[in-house]
Amino acid sequence: MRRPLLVAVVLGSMVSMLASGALTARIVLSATTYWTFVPIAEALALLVVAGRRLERGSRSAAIDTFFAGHGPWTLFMIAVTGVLTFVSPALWWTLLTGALIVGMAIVMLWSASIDFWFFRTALSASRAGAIRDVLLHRLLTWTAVFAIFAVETWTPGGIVRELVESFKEM
Amino acid sequence: MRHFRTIAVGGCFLAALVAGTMSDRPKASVSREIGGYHVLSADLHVHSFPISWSTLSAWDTVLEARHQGLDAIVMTPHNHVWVAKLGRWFSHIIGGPLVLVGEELTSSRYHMIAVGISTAVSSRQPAARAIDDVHRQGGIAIAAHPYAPFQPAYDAEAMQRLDGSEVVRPESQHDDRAASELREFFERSPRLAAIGATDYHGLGPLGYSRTYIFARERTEQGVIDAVRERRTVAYDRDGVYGDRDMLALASANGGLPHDAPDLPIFAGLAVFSRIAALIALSAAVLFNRW
Repeated sequence: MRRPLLVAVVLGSMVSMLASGALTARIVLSATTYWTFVPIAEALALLVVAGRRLERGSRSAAIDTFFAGHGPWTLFMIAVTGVLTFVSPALWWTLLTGALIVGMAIVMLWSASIDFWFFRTALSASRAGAIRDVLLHRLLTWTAVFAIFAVETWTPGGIVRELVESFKEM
Repeated sequence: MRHFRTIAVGGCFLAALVAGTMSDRPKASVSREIGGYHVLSADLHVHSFPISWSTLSAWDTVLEARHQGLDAIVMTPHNHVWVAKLGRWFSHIIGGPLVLVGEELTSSRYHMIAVGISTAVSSRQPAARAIDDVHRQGGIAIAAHPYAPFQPAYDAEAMQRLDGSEVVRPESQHDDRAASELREFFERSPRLAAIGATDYHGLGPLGYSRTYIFARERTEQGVIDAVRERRTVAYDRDGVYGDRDMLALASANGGLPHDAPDLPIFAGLAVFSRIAALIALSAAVLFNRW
């Protein structure tokens, strides 16, 4: 479970640097705790998607291996934090709605391809099955993370409405 | 080799944490009494995690407000109030700052800050009716980032009821067009209290844009009454908005600090902390083969 834990620590550290401009104990410890909801959501989604294909004894190791696919996202978050904390806030909105979206699209494909090969090799999924697994995992994880982060009404309509409004605002 | 890497990455992270914690000094409150008023430094538009597009939890947000020397904040979750109530509860436990329960009503036509409410107000109604709902709860309503696309929602009926308007925000201190749109809206009505607010989402310093509130008492009700009676002052990059009598009073008593807070972009220890943390975390990810 080293990789999921690392994701939580990276998220807590990013939160601290974005809020205070440094890695401060008071924010890192606290933020790492509640941002564990991201790796937890990803791990739970994996258990749902993989179902009985994951043997009980090997689940922990499989989750750790699966989080290799989170590497591009983790490196991307580190890079984004590095840039945002070294430029004037006047540039933040431009970066967040421009370069960030392009970067996200690349990372999304990169990460999906790693997960695709995880499902192909670790769970012996067919090509079509692995694609379905990746898409289902993304749907479950992203919906959960987006709902917790941004949506006050946890209904399909509420989630879609928030998504539409946020695109409009951008 | 593996042990050496672990020690190097761990050491780098620890150094970042120590330097960052040392650089993280709290700012003093500028609160004082002038002419019978408590002058409070406040940020009236603050979001927190979860469900409001913010990264810091309610308790971390309250601690951050205290750290930034703010005397009061309004916690404004999107279309609900429970996270704000959590923040106010935590603030009571640790002894301040003042936390007022608020809500940011978000709809496609307008965004509005409700301050001093106890239950959420629906944004699925015209602005004037939403303001009436806020007033019925004893609260006040402030136009949030009233840029051109949101201005038509504030018709004559809404403008008569509105208590305040955000006229200073972080982006307006860098962007002339943003500043001019906010100013144009604020100048539409002499009834509006001038509000400086950060619209905090966990990025950058809380209280970067703030409002000085001239309250008769240092309480939540005191803050609400002061805004309702327009006893507020907000400083922009090169201007000031708000009650002229309060400004004169403050000027006669040494003035109020009005430079935007320093950003820790190039502050020594903070820079070292960030660079060391970014190196340590990148190395941890790469050495862990992702």
